[in-house]
Amino acid sequence: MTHLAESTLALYAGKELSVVSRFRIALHLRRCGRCRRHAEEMRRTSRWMHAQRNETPAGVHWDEMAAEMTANIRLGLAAGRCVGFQPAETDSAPRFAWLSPALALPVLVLVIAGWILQSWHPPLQPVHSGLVLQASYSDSGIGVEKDGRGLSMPSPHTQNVVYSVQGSAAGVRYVDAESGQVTISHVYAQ
Amino acid sequence: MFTRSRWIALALGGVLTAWAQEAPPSSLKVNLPADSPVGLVSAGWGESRTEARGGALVLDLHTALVLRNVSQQHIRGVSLLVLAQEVTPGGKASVAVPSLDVRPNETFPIRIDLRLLRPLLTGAGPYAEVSLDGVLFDNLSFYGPDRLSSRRSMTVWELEARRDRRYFKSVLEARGPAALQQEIIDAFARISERPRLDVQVIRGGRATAMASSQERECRLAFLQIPDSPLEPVSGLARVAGAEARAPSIEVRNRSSRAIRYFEIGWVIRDRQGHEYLAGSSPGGDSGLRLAPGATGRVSEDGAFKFSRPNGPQVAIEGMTAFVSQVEFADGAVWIPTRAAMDDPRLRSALAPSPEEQRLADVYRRRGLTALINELKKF
Repeated sequence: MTHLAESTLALYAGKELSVVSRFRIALHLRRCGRCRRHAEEMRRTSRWMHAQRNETPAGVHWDEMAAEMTANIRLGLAAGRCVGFQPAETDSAPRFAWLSPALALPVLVLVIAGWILQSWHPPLQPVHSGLVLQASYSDSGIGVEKDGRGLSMPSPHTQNVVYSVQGSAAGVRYVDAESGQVTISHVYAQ
Repeated sequence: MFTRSRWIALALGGVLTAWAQEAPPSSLKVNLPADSPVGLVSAGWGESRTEARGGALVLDLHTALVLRNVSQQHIRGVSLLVLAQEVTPGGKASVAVPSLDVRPNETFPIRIDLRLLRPLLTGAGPYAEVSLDGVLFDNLSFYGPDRLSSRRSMTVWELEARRDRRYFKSVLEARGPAALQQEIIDAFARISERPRLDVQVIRGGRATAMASSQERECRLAFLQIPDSPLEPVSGLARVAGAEARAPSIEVRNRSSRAIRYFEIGWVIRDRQGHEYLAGSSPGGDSGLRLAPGATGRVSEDGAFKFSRPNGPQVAIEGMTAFVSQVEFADGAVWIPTRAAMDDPRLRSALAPSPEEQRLADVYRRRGLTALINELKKF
C-alpha cells in the first residue's frame, strides 16, 4: 500500500487542508494503520505544541496578580472615601476619560499582534521545481532546496569566507574566530 | 503593586517567550562508536534555537563539542555528520575541521554553526544527532564510516596543507622572515581579493530561464597542468546570458595507474575579461575505474547561474575547465603542485587551501613570530 507523505499528514493533523483533501485522507487512514498511527502522533504533538504556546510565561501567576489588583482598587476607593474625595462634576473630568482606553489600546494591539505572529508560520517559499543548490556571498549564504522545500544558512560573521557548490552539497569554509580552526560546513540536498 | 508599565513589560515578555523557544539540553545527541579515537568531553545545546515554519522545524545550531584524542596518533582532521532527518533537503549537514595537530590525550573543540530542517511533528527524541564520519591521522590513515567521503576530502586538505607549509617554510629558510612576511601578505590579498561570484546550481525540473533563441554552444578552454594524471581532451557547454547548462568534458588518463575519482573545476569569464571560479564537478561515481590511457566524461545534468554578490547577473563569455584533484584506485591522491600554481591563471582560479587560509589568519591576528612558530610545529 502506498503511504501518505509526512508533509500531507502534518497538514492533515494541523487541520490545514481543504475539506475534500481531509475527506480523502480520512478514507486512507481508515485502511492504513501505519499512516493512522503517524497522524495520531502528529495530532498529539500538535496539541502539545499548542498547549505549550498557551502556557503562562514562567514566573507569572495570574491568580495572584488578579487578587493584588482587586486589593489595590479597593484600597484606592477606601482611601478616597477617607479623605472625602468625590469626583468633581466639572468639565475637566470627561476630558481625560479617553486616557485609560488610549493607553490600553496599544497593549491590546501588541498582544493580538504577538498572538497572530505566533500562530502564523510563514510557509517555505517555493522557488523552483527540482534540486537547487546555492552559494552566495550576500546575506543568504548557502542553501539547498528540492521541489520548493529547503532552507538557506546565513553567512558566518567572519572574514574571508569561501563558498562552494559540489555534487549535492553546498559548502562554506572559514576560520573560526574563537578557536582559530578552519571550519568547513556542508548542507546536503540528498 | 503592578504599574501599567509592568503590565506592558509582562505582555511583551510573554509574547517574546512564546516566539523563540530554546530547546532543552537533550535536543542534541552525540553518538560516538565504542572504539572511536576521539572521546566526548562535553556537549550541549549552547545558544541553539528552534523555530516552527510551515510543517517544519528550523534548527539553528550554535554550539561546540569538546573532544579528546584517545588514540595513540596525532589527529590531523575530524569530520562530523549532523543529522536532523534524512529525507527532506536541508536535514543533513557535516562539519569538518582540517589542519589540526592534536596529540594523544589532548582535548580540542569543534564548533557547530548550522541551520537544519526537520518535520515539525515527529514524536519524541533529540532534534539532531551528531556522529563521527571520520578521523584522519598524521600518517594519513583513517578511521570512520566515511558516509560523506570524508576520507578523500580530508586527505586532499592534508596534502594541500603539507604542500603549502613546505612552501612557506622553504621561503623562510631560503630568504628569511621578511620574504615570508611578503608571501603571506600576498596570500592574504589573494584570499580576500579573489573575485567572488554567487552560484546557483539547478538540477531536474523546469528551473531555467534560458530561451532557446539565445542559447549557444560554448567550447570549453582548458588550463593544462603539466604533471596532472588526467588530460582534458574536449568539452562543451550550452550558454545563454548568465546561465551555463549541461557542461561536459572528456578526459584521458595519462598516468600508469587506474583512477577511481577526479574533480573538474570550472572557471567562467565575463564580457570584461574577469575570470571567476564557478564550482567543481565530481567525475566518477562509485563504479568508476579509468584505466591507464582510457578516456572518461564528466557531465553536469543541471544548469549553473551566476551573479555578483548583491549585484547583477554575470554574462558568460567563455568557460575554462581544469583538473583539480585525482584519486587513484589504490587510494593515493594527486593535487596540483605549488610549482603548477605559479601559472597566474591557475593561481587565481584555485581557491586557497584551508591551511593557507589558516596561516594567513594566524599572521593577521598574531603577527609574524606566531606564524613562524606555527610553521615550526609541523
